[in-house]
Amino acid sequence: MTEGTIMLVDDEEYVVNALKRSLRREGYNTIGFTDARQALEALQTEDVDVIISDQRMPGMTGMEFLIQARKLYPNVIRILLTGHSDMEVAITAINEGKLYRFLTKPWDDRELKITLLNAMKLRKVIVENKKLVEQIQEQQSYIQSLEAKYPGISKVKRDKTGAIILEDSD
Amino acid sequence: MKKRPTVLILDDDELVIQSLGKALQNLGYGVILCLNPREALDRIENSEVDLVVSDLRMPAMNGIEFLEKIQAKCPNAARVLMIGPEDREIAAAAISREAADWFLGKPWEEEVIRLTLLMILRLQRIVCENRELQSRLREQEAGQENAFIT
Repeated sequence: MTEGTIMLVDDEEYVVNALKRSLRREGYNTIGFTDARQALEALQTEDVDVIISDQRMPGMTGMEFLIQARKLYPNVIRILLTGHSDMEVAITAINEGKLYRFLTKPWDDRELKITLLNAMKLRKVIVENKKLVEQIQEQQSYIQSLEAKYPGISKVKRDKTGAIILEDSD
Repeated sequence: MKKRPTVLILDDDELVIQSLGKALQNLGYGVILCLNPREALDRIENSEVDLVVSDLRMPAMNGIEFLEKIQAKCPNAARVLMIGPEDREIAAAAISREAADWFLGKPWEEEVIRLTLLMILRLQRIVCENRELQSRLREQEAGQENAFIT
């Protein structure tokens, strides 16, 4: 079963609604916006895994919105919806690592589904890696603090049978 | 800097493996070209392959079956199914049950291939990082236990 929250941003409400319908069928939570500024505000309170934004919107382009979202939440996966004429923008952004992928309008539902499967997988692993790094660092500082109190404690020597070898310090 | 990624390409059509191979070489990838699944499975044993691209419809074994074997043999390699326009539904179903990571439509555009591979390899790099971090944590935990058992 798929899970996760996807933010949908397009100034045309029917596009947001069509995406919502497709993605809900796949079991995702969706939140939709027709205004990029409102979407940015909502990011502060909503736990979002993936953002799909249209490129052509009044006030702020999709890429401008996604770059701002990236500054606030670098681990959110970003997907741009484009027409054929805006493909260059998307390609440059992918090359620079600012965008995960683009989907062209009108989108193919199967491609949307596969893109989201991969995007969610990426998101899950990125979040997990961050946690693992934290755990490793925590453990290292714990070992270091013990080592400061009891020098040599983290480097116990053992012989072939597993018995601890005690060495005199002199 | 890591060595350039290697892609294994399997298709029973020699023209396809030649032209896709050339396209990927142009993009800076190392390539291994194979015409039959048995040969591909043998060759993957002895080489470090980052990504496998397989045709769906082949006489000896279908591409999904082949990619499943690849996963068992070489779990770190990313898997792409190459399909004609009529097989999108089959590809989507295979990807949903994680028998493949992505699909590539025939005929392809070089830019589509470039972006698709870039995206897949990014995910793969992060998955590999995940495995490394997990084993580092396990080692560290084992080291700690080892030190404190008396």
